[in-house]
Amino acid sequence: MKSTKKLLIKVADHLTLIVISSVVILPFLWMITTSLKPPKLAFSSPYLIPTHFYWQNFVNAWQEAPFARYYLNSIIVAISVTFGQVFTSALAAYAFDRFEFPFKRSLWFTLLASMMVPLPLLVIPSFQIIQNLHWADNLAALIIPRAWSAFGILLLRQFIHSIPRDFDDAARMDGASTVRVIWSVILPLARPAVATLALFAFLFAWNDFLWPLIVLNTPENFTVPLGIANFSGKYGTRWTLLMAATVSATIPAVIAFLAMQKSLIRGLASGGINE
Amino acid sequence: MQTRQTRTAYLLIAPALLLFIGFTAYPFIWSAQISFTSWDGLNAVKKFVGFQNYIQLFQDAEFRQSISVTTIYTVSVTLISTILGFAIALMLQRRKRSSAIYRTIFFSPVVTAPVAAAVVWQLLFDPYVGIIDIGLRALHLPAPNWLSDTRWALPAVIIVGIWKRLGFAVIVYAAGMSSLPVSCFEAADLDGVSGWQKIRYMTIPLMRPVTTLVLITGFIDAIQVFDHIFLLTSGGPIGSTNVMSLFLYNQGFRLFRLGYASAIGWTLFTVILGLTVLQWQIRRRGES
Repeated sequence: MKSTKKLLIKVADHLTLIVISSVVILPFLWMITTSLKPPKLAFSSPYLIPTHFYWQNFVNAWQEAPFARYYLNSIIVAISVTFGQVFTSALAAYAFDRFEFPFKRSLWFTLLASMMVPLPLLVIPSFQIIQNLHWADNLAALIIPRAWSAFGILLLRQFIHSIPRDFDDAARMDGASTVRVIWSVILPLARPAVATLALFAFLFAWNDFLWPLIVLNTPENFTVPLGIANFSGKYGTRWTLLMAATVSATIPAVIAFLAMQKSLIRGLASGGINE
Repeated sequence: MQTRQTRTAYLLIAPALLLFIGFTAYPFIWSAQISFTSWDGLNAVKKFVGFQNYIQLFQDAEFRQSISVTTIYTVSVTLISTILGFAIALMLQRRKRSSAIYRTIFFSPVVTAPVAAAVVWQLLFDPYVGIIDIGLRALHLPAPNWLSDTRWALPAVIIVGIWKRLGFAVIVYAAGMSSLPVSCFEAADLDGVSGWQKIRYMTIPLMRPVTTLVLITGFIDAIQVFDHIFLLTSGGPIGSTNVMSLFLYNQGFRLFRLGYASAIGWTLFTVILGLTVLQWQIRRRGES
């Protein structure tokens, strides 16, 4: 009796999970299937699993818009933002954990509180600042303002706190400077936290839309999300072409992130719970 | 010694601090100032208008609609994704072997660029070739023109919001549940406590801090939504999906009413501040 009930629960669990995950994955599947449809089938009876493989859609999409260029811009922006955030956060996190200095507590509180400020609020004055600096329509506007992160400082400080000071002292005995201690002792030991921060920074810069939308004008400077939005505006209902563009612009990134999901998930979960 | 330490510390925090001041603190304060002017961004003259923008804002029917649309969106997306996420995490906890693949599936929308997701959902919602309406027609159900019907546009963007948010709730709950004391649950098993009672009287209360976190971060995240709504409906039809960020964007960057848009931004900030303080209060009460 009890085992039948257990079995029933097991079957119900699996069925529910399969149904919900099918719904979640449906947009991806539909996107891939449509991207491979020959144009003549685009409006005829639908099918879910790719049966035709019309690769020409991809060639056409890449010829219609400079996706290679968008990719390059996105990679430049995302890598620069990632390095910037890891660099500035590591230095600041070390200072906040290891040193005492005037206004330390109020500075720390201010930095953390700044995480509450909604991006849409900052966008209006930030755009004026960017114009005054003559960075409008320039990738610098996407990189420099984002080269720091309150979340990053918080994350790294928590981790650095768990590294014994003996390591710093030993390196200092050997005559290492503070920057050297951070670079060759602390950062290698804090690798899990650095990896998490790097992933978050990269993902944030890679997916960002509102700020590039406001700052960039010329298509040569577009990042991938802006390129897709532009393409979608232009080729509205040529779905096969549009989906080929979307697949090629997102699937590689999604696969890369899923490959690294362990540290991403660990970061999300730990950041969420220990906060 | 003390002064040297201070100097080193300030040198180390300088890069982050300067960027923070230049690109967060300064624009933050400046936007407060702009919200008291009628600036169009072009004229050098910024006419001071006092609380005019705020007064006008709360008399603006479009803004009132925007507040109710944002509230419906935020509450629906957060509540539904949290409840579903909790249920899925529970099921995954019982299914150790297959949970990795499920987690990957639920997590993929989280890492997908919102813009790309929006383009795909546009196709799914298409009344002619979209699979949703094809499916509904096959079941002889009414197939609405989702994105251009005032009654269905908001549910449509809410569905996309839940799809994007669900993975986060699943992951955080799954992590929380994996740290629950197994021994208590084993003891309950020996006492013949039913599965439902264990969830009701053990898992849900023990997960309360996680629930607070998922809910509040969910509210803060959803209340600022922009990307997929901008692409799917641009706030329409007739303002039925005009959430606050879109309203702000249109006022600021289409109509160049920077003062008015900044007042919207500050209203949004006040709500987020309130939610964050609420979270602190709840956590403090939980600790004491």
